[in-house]
Parts: sequence; structure tokens; C-alpha cells
Amino acid sequence: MEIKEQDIVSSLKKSLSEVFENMAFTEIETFDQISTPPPVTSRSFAGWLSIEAPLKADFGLIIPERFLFNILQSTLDESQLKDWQKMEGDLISEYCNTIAGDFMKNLLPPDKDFDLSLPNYKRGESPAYFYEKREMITLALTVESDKIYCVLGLE
Amino acid sequence: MWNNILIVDDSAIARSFIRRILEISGFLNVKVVEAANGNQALEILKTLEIDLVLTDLNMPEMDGEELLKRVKRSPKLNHIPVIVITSLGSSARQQKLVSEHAMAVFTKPLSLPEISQFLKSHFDENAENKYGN
Repeated sequence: MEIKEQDIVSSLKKSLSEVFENMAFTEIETFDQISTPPPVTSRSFAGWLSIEAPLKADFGLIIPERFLFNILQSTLDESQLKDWQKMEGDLISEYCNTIAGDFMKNLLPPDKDFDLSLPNYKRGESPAYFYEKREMITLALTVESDKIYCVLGLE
Repeated sequence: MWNNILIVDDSAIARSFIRRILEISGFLNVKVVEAANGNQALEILKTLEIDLVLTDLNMPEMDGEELLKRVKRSPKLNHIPVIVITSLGSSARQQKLVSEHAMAVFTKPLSLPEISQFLKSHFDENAENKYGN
């Protein structure tokens, strides 16, 4: 299936905007396409999953812990917030799942089915595909003074 | 009338989002029960009288589609409406789930006005059928 990079980038931007508006209650201020993702620091989380069909790709996000905590604070009640550290990974996984699904829905014709793997996450560690020699599309987003990265590795 | 609603999702934060949607939609006196996958949901369905299931699709152990099939195959459970919430939102997949008797399929990111309106209208319809008002 032949898909133009320009269409991939515009679908990614659309999905990122929609999901951050609906699930983070905020707007993305800037998008910049950069060549490589930065290393994931100990104060950030990486979340990722595989898009299994019909486009073969790995999709990932790097999000600062501070940003995730702010979202958890506005979403959870006090009793749930006691476990906020357990919820950070859950939140970035949910963002990966929702953005990747919405991205594929935007990119493909409506009758075309697609599959996603279950998401993974780690604090302070990049997923292996960030370092593979393959075609990568990396977007740097500015959201409320935080930098968030979206990394798509194509096969 | 929906008294007990079961939310099924492997993500605790996604379950919280759905709980929040139910609260915003006015379901404040409804008991909400949670399960992390289809297996846990079936265990709960065996012991509690659930009036509505809201389930994610993509989950470990037993996914939402298998849960839907098992609920609809069971003579004891098949009256329970099942709403599927998914990030795998192609129209082909949605049609398949509806053909398997999902009450509705909502795609993530959830639109609060859309799902809220749907739940309210079906809650009213359900109360009318139950009490003949």
C-alpha cells in the first residue's frame, strides 16, 4: 500500500491535535518535524505500540512526567491520585493506543481495517526501534511549555 | 433503569475517563463496577446483576469482541446491552461488532457530547420499557 509521507504527517498532526484536545484538555502550540527523537530521560516516559496492518510501523510517544502528572491531577479524584505513579504508564499507553488508532482511521479509507498491538511503556528508556536504521517520522510538539515527541518508524 | 454498569478496560485511566463521562452524563446514583479484561467481566456478570456493559476492544486475556460474543451467546446474559469503545475504528470493524449485537460502537477519542447524549436517550428509553411510563 503506497502512502505519501505528506499524508502520514498531516494525519499524525490531526490525530495528535484531536486526542490532546479530548484527553489532555489542551492544545498543541507548535509542530516541528525533526530528524531523530531525543533520548528519553529519567523524568520522561516512552510509550509505544506496533501498527500491524495494513501499514507496518511502530508508533511511539515521549512525554515528560510533569505533563502526565498534571493530566492525572485533572482527571482522577483524591483517592485514585494516591496511586498516581502506577497510572502514569497507563496514561501514556492510552494516549498511544488512541492516537495510533485515530491516525490510522484518518489515513486509510473508511472500509479498510487495521490492527494495533497492545501498548508498552518505560520510564527513562527509549524503545529499540528508535535506534533502528529505517524511515522515521519524528514530530516535536510544544504543549503548555512541555516538549512531547511522536515517533513513527516505518517498515 | 440502569442500576449497575460494568466498565471493562485494561487501562485504569481509561476506566476513570469512562466513569467521569457517566458522572457528567448524570449517572450519579448508578453503581459502577470495573473489570480489566473479558475474563474478569464474565466473572462479575455471573455474580452481579449488570444492566449495561461498556467494554474496550483491544485487551489482554480476553478482548472485547470475545466478551461481546459470550454475553450474546449466553441465555442468561444476552439481554444485557453491550457498548464497545475502541481505537480500532474502521467502519468495517464497527459493522462487524454491530452484527454481533453490540448496542453501539464508539471510537476513541470519545466525544463527550456524543456518548453522553446516547447514554441519556437509551437510559430514558430503558426506563420507559421497564416501567411503562
